[in-house]
Amino acid sequence: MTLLSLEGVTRHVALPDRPPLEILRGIDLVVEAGDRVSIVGRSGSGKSTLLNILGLLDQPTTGRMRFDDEPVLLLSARRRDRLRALAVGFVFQQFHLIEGLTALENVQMPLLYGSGAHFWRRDRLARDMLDRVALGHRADAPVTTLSGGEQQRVAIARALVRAPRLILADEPTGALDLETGATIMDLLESVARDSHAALVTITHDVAVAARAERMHRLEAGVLSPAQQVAEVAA
Amino acid sequence: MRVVAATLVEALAQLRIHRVRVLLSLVGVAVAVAALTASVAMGDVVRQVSVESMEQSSGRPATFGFTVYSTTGESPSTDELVVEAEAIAERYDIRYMSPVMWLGGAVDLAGARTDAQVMGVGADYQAMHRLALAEGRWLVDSDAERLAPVVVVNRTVMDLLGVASVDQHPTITLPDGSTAVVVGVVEGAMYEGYPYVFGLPATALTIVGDEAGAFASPTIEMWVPEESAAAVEAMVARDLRGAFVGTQVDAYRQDYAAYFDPANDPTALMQQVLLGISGVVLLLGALSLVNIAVITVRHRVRELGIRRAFGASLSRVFVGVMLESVVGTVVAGVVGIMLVVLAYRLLLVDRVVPIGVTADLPPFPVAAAVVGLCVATAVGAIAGIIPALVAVRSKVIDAIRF
Repeated sequence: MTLLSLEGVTRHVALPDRPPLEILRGIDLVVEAGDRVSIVGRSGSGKSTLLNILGLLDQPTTGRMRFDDEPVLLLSARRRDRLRALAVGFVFQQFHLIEGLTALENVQMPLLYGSGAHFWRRDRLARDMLDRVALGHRADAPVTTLSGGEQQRVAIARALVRAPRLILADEPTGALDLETGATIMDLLESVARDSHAALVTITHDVAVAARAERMHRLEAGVLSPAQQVAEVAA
Repeated sequence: MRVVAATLVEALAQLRIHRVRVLLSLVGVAVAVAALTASVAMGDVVRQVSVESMEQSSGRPATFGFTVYSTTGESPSTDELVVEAEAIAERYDIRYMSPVMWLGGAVDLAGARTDAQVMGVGADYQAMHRLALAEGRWLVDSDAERLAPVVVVNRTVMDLLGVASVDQHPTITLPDGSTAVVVGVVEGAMYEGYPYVFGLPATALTIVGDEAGAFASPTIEMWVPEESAAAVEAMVARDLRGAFVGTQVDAYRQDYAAYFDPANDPTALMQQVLLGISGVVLLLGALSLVNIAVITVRHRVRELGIRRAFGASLSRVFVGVMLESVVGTVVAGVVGIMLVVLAYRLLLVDRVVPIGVTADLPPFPVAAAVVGLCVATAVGAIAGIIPALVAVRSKVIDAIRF
């Protein structure tokens, strides 16, 4: 079942006194339910813009995009917010946890914007999720007191607590050392698999990209499928 | 319900995170709300005390006085007047009626003849004039059947009698050698400094004896609902004229509401000045609140972006930021109001404004607390709009990029 599809998607940014800047050009991408997709690209290749579009944070300039078989370009901003709240979970390179809140409160945060059942059961759901990422014992610790690996695990718990059908991971190991990064990827893939969620990882790390079932390479705004690690690395 | 609860949870968490900033920014609001509440409360209390004082003197709205006298022959006796007035009151379902006789004269107090204000009144007089008792009881109709007449006095009389309490069974010696038993003591600013003795009309006449003179003829007071006041006045006057043919019947409304002009209320000016000062303090507090809130929101761009990424809609972010402001100012308002109530309970109000509260302080005006809370909420909402607009204008993509 197709969860997300992009067809001929472009993203231009208007610049004063200059031609529009083409960030993405003719992107075609299909993400099936439970898929494992990686997108590799250098800095400035348009990775973040593509992630924003996939996560319904940004809109394509042209092209067609369907999420859950709904035409995204025709949806209202409120409907896109709602869809994002119910179906998408983000994992960021810099974790982007909210300082001042505990690990538990950070994981509860997405549940404030979900359904009533999520909201009223937020404490139980968040604690269960922290247990799944082996951080149940640090639930009440302020996030600033956690190590980098622990913070990323909290971020993963936060991304998955609403059981999203699409997980978007932007450089999930970028701020971690090699060993912790591998552990985090194991965890992310394992939890995504258990949740039957599609995982789209955007990275410049070829080793991380190679863990996916399907790899893509993004270069100068153009996305192309890659069959082998060597192709990606090229 | 869920959205409101979730937004509140979010707002409380943010207030907790930024508690020091919130505390500092809300000091001004708390002080302003306290000043505003105090102004409203002070005005209300002064007005209430003033109204109660006027009611003690002239009766509660609407109180009518009826006098019946003859310019040519003999005026009706007190008994005749009271009997007829009771019949009229029963006819028109008037629940409060009292004869009132202001009798001057010397009274024997502990062996010394002392000038006093002796008043012949009925049992309903206490309710009609909002008389408060410091101790003992007021007069009742059945007191007329007692062999020993009873009186109610003020504290000045008690002091002259040299007794502290009615439990010591103080008495006043009457001109005929018998005694009247003191059963109650009235209190209030109106009854301070000069001896007052209240008794049923027959008792009052006995106390002053021959000195009653021309003032012995009572006024009949009736307290009626304001909406039917004019009709009742006309009917009672007509019936009295019919009952005492050939006499002159004067009817007049005597309570303060008949002549009190709210536009010239001296307490209103004081209250307006205090409200003006409070308003300026509130404005300054709100400006400081807006200033700090806008700066804080600019520093919260990343956090707001994260919330947007996890599904918070623009309206939710707007309401969330505004609610933080509202919750903060409401808490500050409650603190301010509590401080004012505390000061009020400690009787500081009587030291600031000498309103003549001698015994029981009137209860703190609930309206003042409600006004304070409403103003605090409104300030929070208005001061929250600007940072909320700044919050929704920040772009989520830019916010989560850094």
